[in-house]
Formats: sequence, structure tokens, C-alpha cells
Amino acid sequence: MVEVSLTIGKLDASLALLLTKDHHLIEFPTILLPNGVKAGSIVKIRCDQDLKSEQEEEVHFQSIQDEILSTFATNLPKKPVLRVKNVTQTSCVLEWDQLDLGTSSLKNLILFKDGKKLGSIPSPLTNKTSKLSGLPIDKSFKFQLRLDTTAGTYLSDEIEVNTHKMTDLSGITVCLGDFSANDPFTKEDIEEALKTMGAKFPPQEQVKVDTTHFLCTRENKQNPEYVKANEMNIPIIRPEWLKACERERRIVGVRDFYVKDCVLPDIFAKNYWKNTSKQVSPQEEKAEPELPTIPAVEEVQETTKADDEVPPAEEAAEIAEVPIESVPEIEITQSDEKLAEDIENTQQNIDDAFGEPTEEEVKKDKPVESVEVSESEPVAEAEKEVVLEEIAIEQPEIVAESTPVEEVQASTNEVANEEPQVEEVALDEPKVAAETAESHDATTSEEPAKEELQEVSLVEPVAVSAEPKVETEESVVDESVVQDITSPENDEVAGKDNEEVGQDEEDEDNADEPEEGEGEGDAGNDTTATPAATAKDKKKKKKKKNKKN
Amino acid sequence: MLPPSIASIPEAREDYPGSSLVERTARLLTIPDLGPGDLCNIHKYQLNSKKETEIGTFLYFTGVDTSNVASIAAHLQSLANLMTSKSQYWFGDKKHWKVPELSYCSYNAFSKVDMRVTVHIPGKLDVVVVNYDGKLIQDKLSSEELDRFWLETFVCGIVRAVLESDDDPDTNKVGGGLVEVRKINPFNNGIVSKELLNNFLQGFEELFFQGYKLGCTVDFPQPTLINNYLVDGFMKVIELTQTYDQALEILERLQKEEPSVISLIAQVLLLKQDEVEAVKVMNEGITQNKRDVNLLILQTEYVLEKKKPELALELAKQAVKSSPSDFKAWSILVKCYIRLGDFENALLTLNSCPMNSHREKYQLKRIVPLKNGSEDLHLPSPTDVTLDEVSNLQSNEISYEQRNLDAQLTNLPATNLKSTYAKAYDLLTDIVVKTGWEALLKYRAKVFVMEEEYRKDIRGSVSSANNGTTKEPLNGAENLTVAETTETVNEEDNSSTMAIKSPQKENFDDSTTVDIDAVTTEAVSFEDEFKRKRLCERWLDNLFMLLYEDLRVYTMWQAESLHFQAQQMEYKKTTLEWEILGSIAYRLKHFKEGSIAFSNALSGRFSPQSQREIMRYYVMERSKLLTKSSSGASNIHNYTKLMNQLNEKILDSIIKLLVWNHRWYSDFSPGLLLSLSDLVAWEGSIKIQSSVRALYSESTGVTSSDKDHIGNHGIIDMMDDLDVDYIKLYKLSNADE
Repeated sequence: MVEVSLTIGKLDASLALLLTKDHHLIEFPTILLPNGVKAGSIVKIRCDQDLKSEQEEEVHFQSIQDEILSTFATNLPKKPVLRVKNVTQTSCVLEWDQLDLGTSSLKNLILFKDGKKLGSIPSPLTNKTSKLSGLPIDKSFKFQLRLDTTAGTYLSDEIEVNTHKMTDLSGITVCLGDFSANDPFTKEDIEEALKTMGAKFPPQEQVKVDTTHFLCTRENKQNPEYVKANEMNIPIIRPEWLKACERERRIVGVRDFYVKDCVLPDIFAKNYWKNTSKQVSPQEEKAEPELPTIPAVEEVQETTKADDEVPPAEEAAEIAEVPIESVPEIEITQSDEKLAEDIENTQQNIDDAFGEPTEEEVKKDKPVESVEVSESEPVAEAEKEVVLEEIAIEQPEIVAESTPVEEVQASTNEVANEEPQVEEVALDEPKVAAETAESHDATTSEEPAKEELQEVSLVEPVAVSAEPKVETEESVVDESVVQDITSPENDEVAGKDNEEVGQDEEDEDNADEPEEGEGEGDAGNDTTATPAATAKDKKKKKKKKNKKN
Repeated sequence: MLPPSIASIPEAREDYPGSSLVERTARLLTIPDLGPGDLCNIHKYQLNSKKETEIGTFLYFTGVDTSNVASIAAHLQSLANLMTSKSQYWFGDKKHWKVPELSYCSYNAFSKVDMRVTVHIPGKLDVVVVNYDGKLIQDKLSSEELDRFWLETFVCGIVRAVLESDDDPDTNKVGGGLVEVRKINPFNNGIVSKELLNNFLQGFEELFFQGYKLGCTVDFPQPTLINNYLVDGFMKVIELTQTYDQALEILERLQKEEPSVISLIAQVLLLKQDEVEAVKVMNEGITQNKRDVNLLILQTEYVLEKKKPELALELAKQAVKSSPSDFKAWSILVKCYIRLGDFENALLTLNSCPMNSHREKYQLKRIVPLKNGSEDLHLPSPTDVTLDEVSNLQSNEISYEQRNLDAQLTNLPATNLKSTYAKAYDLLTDIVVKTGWEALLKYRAKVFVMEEEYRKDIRGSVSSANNGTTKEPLNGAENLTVAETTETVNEEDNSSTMAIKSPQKENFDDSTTVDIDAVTTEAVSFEDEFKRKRLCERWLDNLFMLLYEDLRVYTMWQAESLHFQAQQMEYKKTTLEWEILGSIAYRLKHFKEGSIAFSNALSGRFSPQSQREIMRYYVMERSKLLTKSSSGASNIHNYTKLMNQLNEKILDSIIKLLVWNHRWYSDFSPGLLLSLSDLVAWEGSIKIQSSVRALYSESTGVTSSDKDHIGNHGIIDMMDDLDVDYIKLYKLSNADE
């Protein structure tokens, strides 16, 4: 312990000057001086080591350290869990659990396709789905999520996705919009069609990430769902499209069914709705006599037959407008109804008991059936188309190789002229355009022309073989087509989809209205359109443009 | 690495051949810290001149591999080849040079010697070591010592390169600063630079315990083993090349000898994005030594970032207790109080910050003065990479703006704050942005002794001391009345900016003798409260004044701009004026307004500072966007749109700044490289690459209809070069995916 007496030499604002007997001069805060002292007073200071406080502080500090350690060093991020939500011919919707970051902060969330970076997921903290469109038909892909955090990098398990064949309609997920009163069909017709096709059932009421088509007959800009569909570039089409698919037992192009610019007489001429009812009516007649004959107890028989009969039976029910009480879901309604017709006299309890399982079985069986049926015809068709496609792919290559340099030059010149106008050929545009444009400058010399020849042969096949992608790409990109100049990954397959993930839509100022319209028109074509058909379409278009030029 | 061209080498004429070397030798004694850039002296004469007209030129280099004589000689040789291979426009005339002799000097700050290599063409190679008082000592050195010297020189060179280039170089270009310097990226040269990197890391390990000789930043009163330029340089290199694992190995070896290295390990772990491990390491280190101020500061920063200011406060207090003379420890304590909303304590702790006025941020400086100013400078325009608006920026345009600058904006003193004062000001603006000016004044009056109180106090103390201590009231009486009247007027509206330690202090001392009795009663009543208050440090008081100035200009600008908006008139300012307004807004933490000003500035013409600042804003916005939680399809839509826009703008900014730096002979900008690799981490290098291709395609077909003129040149090459030789080389941010 030390004890000293000090004289206050000067008492200034907040600071005092203290003097010791052996002439130390100490600056001392006045706040620490006792009240009432003035210059000239003598104060006594005692200094002790405060061991107790030292200990207390140490304990306190240690507790803080422990708290920090337990708060920030125990809670590690978890690897993301990735799932498939829906798959169609050209797109798939991925879904993942809410990210668990522990105490770390998010840096980035990146989607990988077949080991290649596709791009960052937007709003990764809240967004839990991602739609990838523009995938080739009937191919398998591997997807993986990578979570970058301040506490390291975490990879999800790799999941495999097979895009559907043209004949597999199970990926179709429709959302219903506004219908006008005098439509030649009812909501039930649509639902019926969905069921027969094996598409997702029931139809959605709201546009979601996995919505593939928006069905309506009225463009109601007040309807937020309509607006959403429009924003998300979901094709907005008439429900007749469903029937067209159903009829062909394969997915058909949406081009002719746009609510916006379809040719109504053409659609009506095909008589989609009437047609079915016609088809139904004979069956119905057939079915009805059969139905009562089926003994309710023989499950096996019943279900097998039900397979065949369900649609007509339902149709019949609907047409007859049998009122059903207190049955909330249509599915149940139908089964109930059917059973009710089947076994009129059996007890209600048994009805219910059978009702659901049979329905399930029916559901299970149906897609299988449709596939079987379709295998015979449309697959063959699909194969034909593939062949067509291949031819389409090869052609430009052959041309490019065999024709003399000058010719190619000429044609590329044409391409160069054409490209900037053909907004839809967005994908390869920058590259092709850039390169062809280069060639523009150098047309006189042969060497660049040769180079260019190579380039052309390189570029073209990519363009063609990627056709289905190209198209779907556009569907999402449409208005941003012009933006392709800024969106860079055109020449890379990975890049393309990258764009998709982000659904980049940059409204660059240069995307004018008419183009948008055109783009949209084309856009819908694609998500589900047949590749060969659209490819042909494209060819035609190109040709047309060439002619114009 | 882009192949160098003759147009990317600036030169300055010297008095007589070799005079720059003599100058340099003369100044060796006074060189502080890290020292100047490497000096290259070139002798040249014209091929077909009749007389012996040898002249001498010089320039500075950074980033050259100076690890041994051979690499320097090779560098000089290639420089000579460049100069002789083509004729050069030399002050208006086309001349074909012969280069008979070149010298290269590199300062070794560890041993305070200048290492010099001279190449005679054709002919021999000389190596000279000059010590601080100009003596040649190479003959006295053993070969081992010489090797050691070269290692030291090399490490110094790299540290200079990475630390300096981070500084804002553009002020130099316009304002007559050091411009005859060529900066080479040492890490951008394929396999060679990987070797160079390894050499540097090895050198760091070997020289770690000498690091304090290089000096340190203003945050610390003096260099220590942990806080010095060597360590700073090492950290920067690690960050640039993302060689975290290698760094950790080295640091773990060093830690065995020096336990405090653990704070560096924690830092590297944080950089590596391995925060959980970092937390453990910090905890372990603090358990071992709970007065390790570096770890405490690091931990405080981390916890603050995690939004736990209560915990951070305790840590910061401990840090201050552990090292009360560090500005950094105090400043983090201030930050904690600000975050907690305890502004009184924030002001008090700010007042206690130890200030450091004698040191500045490291910057390359001229060591050889130019005799005739800028007339001696040969500053060619590189033609290999150009972008119209950037490369063609004319200095006369800028100087015109400077001459016609709004007087209000010219002399804002807050612009020129240096070292710890600038940082303290930053803290003060952190407070004012949260409280507002009026509230800040109230807090200030509450904790600091205000002038009025001071006057009362003096009177009180005088009365009680029986007039014993006051000075002679000679000329006091007259001054008094004048002073008092002006005071009272000022105090009404402006008491805030009045310092209690104002020059008038003496007057009040004198005046006190007049009416003592009147005050004595009052004195007791406020004495108690008064005693608790503190004197405001003079510098802090001054900062309040500067803050007032800044706020005044800022508020005026905002009001005017609103007014003009209401009148639907254009609010017109020059680029320079916008830039100053933007800086004010940034200083006051009004980033949005600042970014508007900067983008206005850029709409007039290119300005590197505005570009850099606005890029900072984009990056801030991006991280805000990332963490913002919003859901719904349209939000995601917007998010994507915004994110892409931001990334595009960031890329655009990076490219423009790279081109600008290239125009001024600098191919090494660590800050931009970090931004670029960050962007690559976001977008993937493929996307960046094709973005660049699309935006800066040189073919005329796509972007511009004007076929004769292409607005840019070589940018794709430049970016590809960075991509291949830098980003892919070190596999930055998983660039290969």
C-alpha cells in the first residue's frame, strides 16, 4: 500500500495539478478529488491493489469468452438439401430446404449442373426453388447446390433429373385463370382432361414456380395471377391446348393456342370439346350398361375395368350434373359418384372404404396406361422427329464443308445481315454476329474467310443441336433477347442455362415493345413445343428472312 | 501478363546522365520506413547523331522481381530492347535511340542499403551495394550476406508493390504527383510468378522477426512483430493469391517461436471464410494471453459484425486496457459505444484516442526532384489498351474545372485530414449520422466542459483563491467588452463550434477580476456537475468545426437540389464539383446521395475517383441485396434484375479503372484485382469473359455503326490476360468451374 499527501497546485477545468513533496507534478482529474477542495488544499491518496476486482473481472471476461465460443463456434452451417419438385420435357423445378447457416453469414448460393457452374440463386435467404428451362428432351442431368458461407463451403448431394419424353405428359402443371361465361367447356372439362392426360392434378389456383402453363380465355390484367404468369413468361394459352395434347397423346406446341393471338375460328373448327363429348357419348352408352353389371365386391375386376371406364363415367356424371353433397374434393367426388353409380344399393360405409383405394389405384394405373398406348404411336413419331432433327443438324455442317469458300462467305454475310434483325436467334447472336461481322471487314482476303468457315461450321451445329434449348431459352428470356449482348454465356451450354436460373430479365432500354411482343409470341412456343416442329419453324423463318434480304 | 510496349514506359529527363543516381544516394540517409520505389536510370543517345549527345532519363518501378541480379539484368535488358527496337517520339521529335547503359536501384529497408545493378550494352554487369551514408560496401560482404541482402530487397520490393498500389493513384496523375512510375503485377506472369510467390512466402518466414524494421501504419504507435508493413504486405499477398493453406503452414511454424502470431492465423482463417475455426483460434489465443491486443481487436470486430455489440464492448474495453496507446483499440471501443447508442461514452472515448500526427499512409514519393517540373516528363499514351472516354481524358479539362471551382467547395478542411485524424473524423460522422447534429451538440455539451461553464469556473476559482493566481489585468479591460459582445452574439447561433480552449482564454482570465462576488454563489451550484465534465481535446474540437462545415455544404446542396427539382430546372455542376459533393456525402455516410453525385460526375466525363467511389457503392448495395430477405416471384424477379445490373456496373467500373491505371503505366491494382475476383466468385469466369467480349467487342458490326472508329482497343485481351494469368493461375474463387 502506498499513501501520499499531495498539494493541489492548480485547480483547472476538469484537471488539477497536484504536487508531491519530492516535486512530482501530477495531472489529476478533478472528478476524482473530494468535494470542496480548492487550490492550496492538501489531499491524501492511498493506492491498493484491488485483487478482488481483478478476480471478478477475470471471471467476467472468461464468461464472455466462453459465450463467444459457444455462440459462434458450435453452430456450423448444414449442407443444403436439394430435391426435384417437377420435371417436364424441357424444364425442371428444383427445390431445397430452408438454408441452415448456423451463425455464419451467407456469401453465395450457387447451382451446378453436371459439375458446371450455372449461376447464383437469387434471394438465397428466402428463395427455395429454382426453375431451369431450356433443357434437352429425355436427357439426364446432375444438379448440385453449393452454399458459400463465412464458415466454409458446403455442397448438397448430387441429384439426378431425367427430362421427360415428348409423350410423357405428367410434368404439365397448369394454373387456371379467368374464363368467360360462354366458353364451350367447363372447369370440370379441364380437370377431366388433366386427369386423362396424367398431368398434375388438381390444377393450381395460383401461379407458382412449377407452373408450366396458364390457362384462361380472358386476358384479365386485373388478375394478379395473370400478371404473374406474364411476368414469369409462362405461356398463357387456351385450355383447348390440353385437349390437343390429349388427342395427340403427346405434348404439342402452344403456338396456336395463345390467348393473345390465337385464331379462334381455327381452334373452334377443331372442335376440341365437342369432340370429346362425342367420343365420350358412345363410350358412355357402352359404359353405362356395363356399370351396373359389375359386382361391387369384386375389387380386382372393378378396378381393372374402372381404368377404362373412369373417364367416360366421369364425363357422364358431369354431363348429367349429378348433385353431390358435402364432398369437398373433386377426386373424391368422382370416385364417390362412380361407386355410387356402380353400387347403388351398398352401404355408405363401404362406399367410402372402397372409394379412396380404388381411386388411388386408378390414379396409379392411368399414367401407365397412357404410356403404353402412346408407346405404339407417338414414340415412333418422336423417333421420326429425332431423325429429322439430326438431319437438320447435319445439313449446315455439310453445306459448310462442301461449299466453296466464297459461297460460305456469301451466306455468312447474309447471316450477318440477318442476325441483328432476327431477334429470336438470340443465343448465338453475339458470337455469330461478332464473328461474321469480323469477316465483313475481311471478305477480300481468303484466309479470314476460311477461318470464318470453320467458325460457321462450329457455330451453326451448336445452334441447331441446341435448338430445343434455344427455343425454351427464348421463352424465358424473350424481352431480354436484346440483352443477350450483355448476357454473355451464349456460346456455352452452361451459360445458357445460367441465364435461365437467374431468369435474367434485364429491361435494357433497347428492348422495344414490338420486339417484346414478337418474343413472347415465340416464347410460348417453346417450353413444351416439339423440337422438330419448332426447329422447322425456325428454319422457315430464317429462309423467309433470307429471301427478304 | 500483357507484353510491355515502349508506350507504357514513362520517363523523366535528368540533369546529366546518372544524376538521378547521385540524388538518390544523397537521400538514402533520410529514407523512412519502406522506402521509395525502385529507380531505373537509362542512358541513351541518338543513333545517327554526330556529336556525343548522350542523355539520361529515369523512372520508378514497382513489382519487378528483384530477388537476384540475373532477374534484374534480364529486366533491364528487355527494357533496352524495347527502347532500341523502335523509334520513339521524344518531346515532339521522332528519335531512334541507342541505350548503352542502364542501372536499377532497389532499396532494402531491412538493412538500410540500396542495391544497384548496372548493365552495360554490350558488355558487363556491375553490382553495387550502397549503404545509408553513401559508401560502397559490396566488397566487404560475404556471398552469404549478399544473398541475404537480395532476399531482403526482394521482400521489400513486393511489400512496396502490394501496399502502395492500393492507394489512390489518380490524385497523382492530375495534381502533379509522382507519375513517372511503372507498376508491374508481380503475380500475373504464369509459372514465373508462382515461383515468385513461393520465394516471397519463404522470404517472409525468414524475415518475419525483422519485420518491425519496415515501419507500420498509423493505427499503431510503433511497429511490432505483428503490426508492421511486412505482415501487412504478407496478408495482402495472401488475399490476392488466396494461398491460405500455405500461409497457415508458415504461420503455424512461426507461432511455435512467437505465440502472438496466433492473431495472424485467426486473420487468415477469417479471410479463408472459415470463421468457426477462426473463433476457436481466437478463443484459444485469448485464453493463453488475455492481453493480446491484436486478437482482442480482431475478436471485437468479428463480434461486432455478428451484431453483438454488448459482447464486443467488453472485449474492446479489455483491448484498451491491454494497449492504451493504440489508436485502433480505442477506435473500436468508440465503435462499440456507437453501436450500442451510448453516444456520451462514444464521445468520451473518442476524446481519449491517442492521436498520431507524425506518420502518414505509405505512398511512393519522388526521391529525385524534377528540375523543370513537368517539362522534364515524357509521358506517352499506351496504345495497346484504350477506352475512349477513359484514355482520352484531358488534363486541361480538369484544370479548367479546378480553376472555376465553386469557392465553397475548394477549401473544405475535412478533405485533407490525415492519419488518425481522418479516422477519428470518420467515427465522429458515424455518431452524427445516428444522432443528427442538434442531438450531437447536446451530447457534447453534456460531457465536455463548454466555454460558458469554463468562464464561470475561472471566476469561481479565482474568487476562492483570493485573486492570487490571476495575471495582471493590463489590456484586459478594453478587450473584454469587445470580446464579450461578439461572444454573446456568436453563442446564440453558433455556440456549438466554440472551443473552450479558444484563443480568448486569456481574456477571460483577465476579465474575472471585475465581478467576482456576483458569481460565487452560482459557482457552487453547478460546480458538482461541472466537475464531472471533461475538457475536450483541441483536435476533437476542431473536428466538430470541420463537421459543421461539411454539414453546412451538404445541407445547402440538398436544399438547392430540391429547389431546382421543384422548379424543374437542371441542377448543373462540373464533374469536379459533383465529385467533391459526393465525397462530402460519403464522409457524412450519406451513401445514396453520394452515389448520385458521383454518377452525375461521371455523366460529365470519366473521373477515376468517382468511378472508384461509385463502385464501392455498388458493392455495398449488392451485399445489402443479398442479405435482404424478400420472397415472392416478382421480388425474385426484381432481385435478379438488380443483381445483374449491379454486377454489370461493377464490371464496367473495374474495366474502366483498369484501363485508366494502364494508361498511367500501372498494371497492378490490388484493390481492383480483389474486386474482380470477388465478381468472378459471383458470376463465374465464363460469364465475365463473355460479358467482356460482348461489351467490348472491337468488330464494328454489333456495337457501333461507325466503322471508322472503334471506341476501345485491347480490353478483351487485357481481361483475358487477367483471367488466364491471374484468376485461373491461382484458382481464385473456384474460377475453373
